[in-house]
Amino acid sequence: MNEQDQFNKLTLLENEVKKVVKGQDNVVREIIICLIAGGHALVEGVPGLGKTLLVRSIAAAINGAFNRIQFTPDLMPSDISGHMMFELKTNTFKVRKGPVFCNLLLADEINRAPAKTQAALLEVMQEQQVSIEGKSFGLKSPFFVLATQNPIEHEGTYPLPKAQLDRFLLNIFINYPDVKDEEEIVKKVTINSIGDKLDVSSIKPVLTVDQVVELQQFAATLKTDDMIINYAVRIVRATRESSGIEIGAGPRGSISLLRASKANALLKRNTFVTPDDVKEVAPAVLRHRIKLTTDLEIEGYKPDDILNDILKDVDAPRT
Amino acid sequence: MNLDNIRVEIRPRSPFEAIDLGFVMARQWFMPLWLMWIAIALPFSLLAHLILFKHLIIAGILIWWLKPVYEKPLVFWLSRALFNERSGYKDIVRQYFKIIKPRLFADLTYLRFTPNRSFMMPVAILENLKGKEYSIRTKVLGRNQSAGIGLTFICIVFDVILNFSMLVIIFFILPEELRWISFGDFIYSKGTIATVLGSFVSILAMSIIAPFYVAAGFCLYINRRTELEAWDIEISFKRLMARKAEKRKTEARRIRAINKAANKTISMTLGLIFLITSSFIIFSNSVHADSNISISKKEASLVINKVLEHDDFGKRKTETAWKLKEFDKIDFDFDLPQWLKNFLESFGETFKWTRKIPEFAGILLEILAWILGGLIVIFILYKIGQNKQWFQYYRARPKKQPEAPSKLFGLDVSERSLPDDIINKVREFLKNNEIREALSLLYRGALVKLINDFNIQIPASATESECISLVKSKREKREISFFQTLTLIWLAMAYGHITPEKQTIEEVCQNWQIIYGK
Repeated sequence: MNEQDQFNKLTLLENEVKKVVKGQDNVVREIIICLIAGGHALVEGVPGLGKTLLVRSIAAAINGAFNRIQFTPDLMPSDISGHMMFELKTNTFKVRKGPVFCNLLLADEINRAPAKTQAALLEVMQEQQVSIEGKSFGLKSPFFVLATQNPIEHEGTYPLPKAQLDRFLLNIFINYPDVKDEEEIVKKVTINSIGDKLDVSSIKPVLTVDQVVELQQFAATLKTDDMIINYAVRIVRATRESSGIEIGAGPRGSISLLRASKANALLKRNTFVTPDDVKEVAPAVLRHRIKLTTDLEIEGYKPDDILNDILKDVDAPRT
Repeated sequence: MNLDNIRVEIRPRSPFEAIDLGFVMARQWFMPLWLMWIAIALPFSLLAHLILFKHLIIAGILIWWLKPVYEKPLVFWLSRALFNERSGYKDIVRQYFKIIKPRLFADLTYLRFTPNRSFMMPVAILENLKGKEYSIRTKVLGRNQSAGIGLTFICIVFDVILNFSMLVIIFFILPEELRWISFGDFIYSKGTIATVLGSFVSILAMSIIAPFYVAAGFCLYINRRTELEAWDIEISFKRLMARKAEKRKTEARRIRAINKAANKTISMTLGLIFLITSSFIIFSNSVHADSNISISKKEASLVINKVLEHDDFGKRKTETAWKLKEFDKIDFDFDLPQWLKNFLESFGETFKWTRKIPEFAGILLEILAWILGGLIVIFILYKIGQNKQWFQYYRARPKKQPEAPSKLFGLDVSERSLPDDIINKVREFLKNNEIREALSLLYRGALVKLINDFNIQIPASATESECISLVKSKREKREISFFQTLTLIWLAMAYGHITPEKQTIEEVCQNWQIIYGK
């Protein structure tokens, strides 16, 4: 595939998903950036905003295998990765693979499960392989996890530690759609359909999973000037020096910022990365990697407020 | 002042006991004292807020500064109440200016920060002393008296705590929907409402502390006078005298009653005898009693000397200290030859002025100390000014107008960095195949025009597309389109290393000339 084909495929994917997921254009865009950059996304938003629909739509559009895990306090690591079971017929042990063996995994309300179960999933995300009874099983590519967190109910939850949050490429906020979009959603779901089942039948597969891998490889090869790398690093380092931030992002933050910037440039049909590509994705890449000082948290400041200030302070690249 | 009517038990107390007594008095008479304070302070406060509405902080400082004006009537009232004489509010109002007048100027200027204010206030108001007399009196009263200073600091601390607590309570009892400001801003960077509220809370806190502060200071003063003027002894003697007089009266009444009864029941003769006998008894008693009181001077001095010999009075203490000898009166206890004595005397006479040196050095040192103190204060203020961030904590930046940068994206965008004829220079670069330099100059030139000619403020952190957005908001369509094209070519060159065709740059040059002229 040449450059234009890659751009067209990506545009097709974006438009296809937007056909079903209404009023969340930015979220769709960020999810696709995450997919193309080969990362995983942590989506935060109140229930009922179409998170499952979003992942199902992407899975349908890339013709990939989709699985969903509802995280609960009694969920065990083996419920995610799989386990060995004895088969009486053959008198042998057989591997029963868990739901992680898919292309797109929706980990719903990840903070409802205890730490060891969360850690099992995060390990799979990092390693892209699963060990069952000492045997390693690789996961299919692309492997994309979309984990969700509910920001309003924290009773009985196990908040993800910062070290584990760092494994997510982007932290995406999903908000209420505007009136027009909401009307359209309601109309679409209620007319000629029973219940409120999510209908993704209108989505056609526009890409194959192999093509997604190709796109990921293509994104990785985009031209990145040294000044862009320097800009990304300066932004991340500024989070460590800001008076309002107790713990800033680490080098993994710089790496993630650049990876996401490349995917963003690709989505904008560019073959090179510009400072705008970096600046646009910086809040989503960094907001879960920083810890605000206690007094700012008490005052109700959000990471985005501080990140916006940082982005205003850091000079654009010098060529 | 009639010590007989005093309402408290007068005895020498330790300063802390005196303060405690003051607090008891303040509790006992809290309402009248508080009402009096608030009735005087409130009109002042309202007036200050109305006049200095735009400078509420200055109004707050002014209200605090005038505290002696509100406190003096409290001292006056307490001084009357102590001797069982209640002054009405009308009396206070009528005499208000007379009460606050003594040493008012000093109290509101150079003595405003004196930490012993509550202790010294009664001296000015009740003894009505002025000038040297006042200073001698305060020196005598204030000797070894530091409790008043401690009292002031304690009251300041309580005032601050009370003030802050009330603010916190007010903020937290407000329903969340009515909170127009965050807690941090409520305390540190108040708006008008919060400042006015803070000011009135501060007045309330001051009004609560003031009766305690004034009464405790007043009691310290009374205690000191009791020590110096032996009020307790005077009261004891008066009580003894009163008891004695009462005893005599009782005795006389008893005898009169007996006489009356005798007259009625016994015959005149027996009555006469009894009368004579009883009169004798009375006479001998009264003579005996009188002889006890009126002893001769000689006897009295003997008794006094005997009393003074007692350990309590007879202590003698020797204290030694250095004192400068007067040269003239130096008594040499050894013989010197006359010529040497003469020489020493003439030498002393010649260098008489040197005696003034220590005095002069003292003055000089004092001046130097003041200068040094002043310099230290200036240095501290300068350091505070330099390091304002010590007192600030993170706050969202206020929107400020950014200054025109001299550099953007590493490009020098000052006007002097450009050649006179930009397009000619660009074409020159193109001829030499220096495409990047040509594009850089074009882009730089466009930015300089936008910054300097059209006053578009571009912050240093703005990316190329943010510059386009700024241009879109300020310039017309044709220029926007030109700038967009130029930016895209520049981006591809700078970050994509994609060299444009010379023809494309030539077209940009032509558009440049159409839009910007030269």
